[in-house]
Amino acid sequence: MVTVSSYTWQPNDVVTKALLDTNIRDNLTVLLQRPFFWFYRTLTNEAFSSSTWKRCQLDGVHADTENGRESINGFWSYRIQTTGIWFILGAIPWDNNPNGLRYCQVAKDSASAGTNSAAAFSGGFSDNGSYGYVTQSHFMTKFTAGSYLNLDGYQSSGSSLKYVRGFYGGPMLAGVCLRSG
Amino acid sequence: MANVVPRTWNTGEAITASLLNKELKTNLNCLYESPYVSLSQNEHQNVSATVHTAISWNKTYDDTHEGHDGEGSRYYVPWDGVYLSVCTVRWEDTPTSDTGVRLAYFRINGGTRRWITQTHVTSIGSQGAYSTDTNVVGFLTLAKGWYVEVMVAQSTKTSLNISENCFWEMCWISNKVGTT
Repeated sequence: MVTVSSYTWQPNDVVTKALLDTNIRDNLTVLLQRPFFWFYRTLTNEAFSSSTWKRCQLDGVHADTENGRESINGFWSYRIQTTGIWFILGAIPWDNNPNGLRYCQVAKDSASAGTNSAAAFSGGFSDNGSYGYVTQSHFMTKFTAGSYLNLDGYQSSGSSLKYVRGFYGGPMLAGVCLRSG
Repeated sequence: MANVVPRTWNTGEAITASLLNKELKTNLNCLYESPYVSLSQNEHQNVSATVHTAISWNKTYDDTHEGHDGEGSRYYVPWDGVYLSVCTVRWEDTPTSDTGVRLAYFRINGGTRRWITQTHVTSIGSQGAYSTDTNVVGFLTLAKGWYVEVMVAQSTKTSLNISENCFWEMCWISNKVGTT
């Protein structure tokens, strides 16, 4: 739902149900309940081949206020329903491995993993075998209704490496529209 | 005061002061007065190796609904809703030869863990001691009365302090939807 232009009331206006619903109910609703989505992983931990970008299949839904979840190119994606300024978060907690790089990115209108980074990109070296590594991307940008978002990951440990489902929430992609229009 | 769900009006309905106050005044006030908290740690707090430790916040810059428990670790949520939570943890200087992990995350009601960030510290040569930051950002879907903490842990030393430059802010951004 998007906001409507605020109505300028006129002397002797007949205050109808339609006017009240459109100009008060609908605008208050969108201001009080921002478009919001939060996807995560419920199935098995997906393995990523070394030095190859891969798209996360986030099958779980914590929230999706505008029913933007959609299967695109075989992956659950978020289709932006409301044009506006969005704050987006993406995170991948990797399994323990001491070697190589870890990346994650939020992709926009991307047909294949590792392309069309939306705005922010997170990466770093893993150098301690006793712990995993977490990549987190967070940014604020304008998205237009119709664009779609995915979470992509990359690692270069030299062997197959999984992310860890359920670890502090596991791999997640979430966003909120802070300002419409 | 928390907001109310905007009503669908009825045809021919009398628009009373009571309805206007409930529908307009309450909801508009909500948009002006939504919960926000800004805290810092201005003393050195010890974190033992591999022990997950809640940061105690001993300085309050702003706390619109008095959700912070004095100088403790908890922020009690005043309204149902989706919150944006942002925390910067600064660790004290350690020699460049030190290695290990430093992490931070949000914990809800002493149990559920969300939005972890881990920093790996690696030897960078002989440039002298240096500090590291661990920044964690996340959405939290919360109910009134729940509490949130920032948890930290490290594996660099038997004992390592977080410095006085730690900050935590939370802001209500929307009505509660979905699950935590």
